[in-house]
Amino acid sequence: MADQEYETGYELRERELIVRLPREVDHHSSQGIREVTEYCARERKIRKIIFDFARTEFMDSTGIGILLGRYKFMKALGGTIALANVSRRIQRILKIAGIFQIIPNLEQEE
Amino acid sequence: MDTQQIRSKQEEKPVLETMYFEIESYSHNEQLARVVTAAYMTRLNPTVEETEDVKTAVSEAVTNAIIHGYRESGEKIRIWVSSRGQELTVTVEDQGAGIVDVEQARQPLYTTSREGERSGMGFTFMETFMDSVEVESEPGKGTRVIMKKKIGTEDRVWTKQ
Repeated sequence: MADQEYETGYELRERELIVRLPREVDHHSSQGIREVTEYCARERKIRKIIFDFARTEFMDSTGIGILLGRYKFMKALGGTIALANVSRRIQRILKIAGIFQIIPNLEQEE
Repeated sequence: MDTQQIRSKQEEKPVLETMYFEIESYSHNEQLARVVTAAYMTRLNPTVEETEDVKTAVSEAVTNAIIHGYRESGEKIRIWVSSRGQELTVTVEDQGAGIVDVEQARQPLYTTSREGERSGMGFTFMETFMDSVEVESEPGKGTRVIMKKKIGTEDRVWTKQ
């Protein structure tokens, strides 16, 4: 239970999948995101993945790879991705990686 | 010598202090490598941003060693964290696959990962968050990444924005 904040959580809301990212997003903690999103796309026909950073205090370039990978995946299906609850630190990481150039109109929610 | 003299002598030639540790190249140890490095850093009285910067760089180097160096086979990654005054040096070494073309590997967005989920930003992040990054590598022998950062200076990256 204490480990829960170190694990990725998922919530389906109709045709949106909310991915609740863990406290620290790295190569270890993000394993499985690809498989879950692929499963939800196939079985539940999701149109949008919302990455919720509310718990996230740390992220390395693994997070960038996930966002780019999932963006391409959803785009190919005619869907999209969005970000939510992005802190200043995470915003800085996203900016350094140039993600706003690669994904134009990247939606950010509160 | 009075206190003033002692202090100025210390400022002239700070001693080199080093911590060394090994982790097995499993992905769950990425967090451990970051936390141990951050713990060493507390003696340099870093800002929150400086600690986060170094943790990110360490995470990138260790993840590279796990994924590319050892291909997740559970071998030893050696890490030295040292400081001379406020100058922090972190060295991450594996004895894995090595890098054929270091210049190419350091290019932003370059990745050998076939799954398409790696961003190719690892070295770019190390370079962004540290003052200098040196890479020594030999195919079949392994890779050593030496990263330096001066701690306790103004947080330049933040003030630029």
